[in-house]
Amino acid sequence: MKSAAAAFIMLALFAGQACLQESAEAAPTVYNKAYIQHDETWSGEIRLIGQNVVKRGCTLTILPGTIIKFPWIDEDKNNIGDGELTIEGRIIAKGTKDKPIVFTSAQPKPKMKDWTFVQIAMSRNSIVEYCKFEYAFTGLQVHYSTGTIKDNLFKNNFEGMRFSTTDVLIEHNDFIDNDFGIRCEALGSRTTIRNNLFRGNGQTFFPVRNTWNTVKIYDNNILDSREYAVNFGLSQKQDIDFTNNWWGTADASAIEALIYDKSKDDTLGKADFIPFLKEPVKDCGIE
Amino acid sequence: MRRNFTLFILTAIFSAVMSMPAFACVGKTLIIGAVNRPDMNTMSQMLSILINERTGTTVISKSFNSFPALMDAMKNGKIDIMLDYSGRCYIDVLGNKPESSAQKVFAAVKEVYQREKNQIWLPPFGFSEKGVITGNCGATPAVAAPVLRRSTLEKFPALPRVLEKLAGKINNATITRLSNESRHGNVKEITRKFLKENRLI
Repeated sequence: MKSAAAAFIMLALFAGQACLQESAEAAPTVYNKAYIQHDETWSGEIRLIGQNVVKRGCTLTILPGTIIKFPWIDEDKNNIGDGELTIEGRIIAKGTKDKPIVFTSAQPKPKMKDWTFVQIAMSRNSIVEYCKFEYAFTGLQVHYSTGTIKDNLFKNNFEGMRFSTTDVLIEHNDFIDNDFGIRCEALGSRTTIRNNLFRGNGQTFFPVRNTWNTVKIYDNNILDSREYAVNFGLSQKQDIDFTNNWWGTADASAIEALIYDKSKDDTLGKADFIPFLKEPVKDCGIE
Repeated sequence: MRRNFTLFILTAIFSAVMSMPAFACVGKTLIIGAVNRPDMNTMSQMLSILINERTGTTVISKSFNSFPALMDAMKNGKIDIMLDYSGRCYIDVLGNKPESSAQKVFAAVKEVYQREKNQIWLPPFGFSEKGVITGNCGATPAVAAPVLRRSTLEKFPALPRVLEKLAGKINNATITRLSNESRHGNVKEITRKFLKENRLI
């Protein structure tokens, strides 16, 4: 009896393992220029070809450990992969520290701009946590939406994030080695950017135009920008508050050298960075 | 009711903004064309960096073997901006005789291109063809300048403001130096350094 029970348990374990193995090796689910018109939950490996849209009223839930890959196609021949995911409804992408959700290129040798972006547009209360965005034109774009962007890694993208008029909390993310860390055209946006780690980005903050002082940017560690830590675009005439951030130095003139604003082109607004933090923020980046 | 109204307003704003030129830059690309020679390659890279860093627009530089091929690409919408010389166009394209006044040549070329080709000449960079190579323009001083298709201007209305920052900034000595440096070095790094030194980026 005892040995029969043990055999049964062994068999059950073996079957379970076989199932897991089968699931791990399962063929990826492919969406090809899809319009998703009902609630969906994604897990395993997903492949997104071309422009894919989650329509208004629908919620896309992505489970921890899901890998979303964008195969290379470039129909408009602009050297930017066409793969994209646009959320017009709501996205709940909550990975975990051990099982992040990954948005990446499907190329064997991936590079920046292999795919276009994940875009959240006209969405309410979207959540993006513990996700990794890499090799995109823009990892994540948020327009006219509310939500939380927390504990994510944006690495090796042309732009880590871009947002326009939004009310989102961007906190505890790592922005590493992107050409542009965060780009914004944030007319009236109430976005808050705090406790993030920025390292090795070409231009860390790129307010292109019309970004108002309603955007709050504080308690971030902004390090090793390859060109500028802040680069005001041609039409950024408004001043922006960048006070209380750590810039990797406590020397005001060294910080000023990292900023392209009114001090270098008097048609532009001013990046107010004084007072600045005299030492790194301790709880910055992914928690 | 109130929520529906707010949603309607937001949808209207979003639709309007998405159709605006700046949003047209999302993932879109501007293509600059230039004939494959050191001065034009240098300027093409310089424009590419300047436009990208001041407006965020992605820019591709394309090289052509001849001016006719370049003009063909411009005419057929394969490129958005080209770099050309007013004197060359005055004589080779418009069939005029050499003219000693650079201003007169530029004004004439600009007027005909705008009227007949829907192409807009922006203010010259500040160097002449004679300062770089020996052309077939006779006594006509031939200034280099960016030329835009009218449709490009409609898609990217901020372009003239960006490109005019280079107007008159690059004289013969400067373009000769930059072109020579570019022959032996990384043209992107050399032009970026120039733009940075001049506080243009």
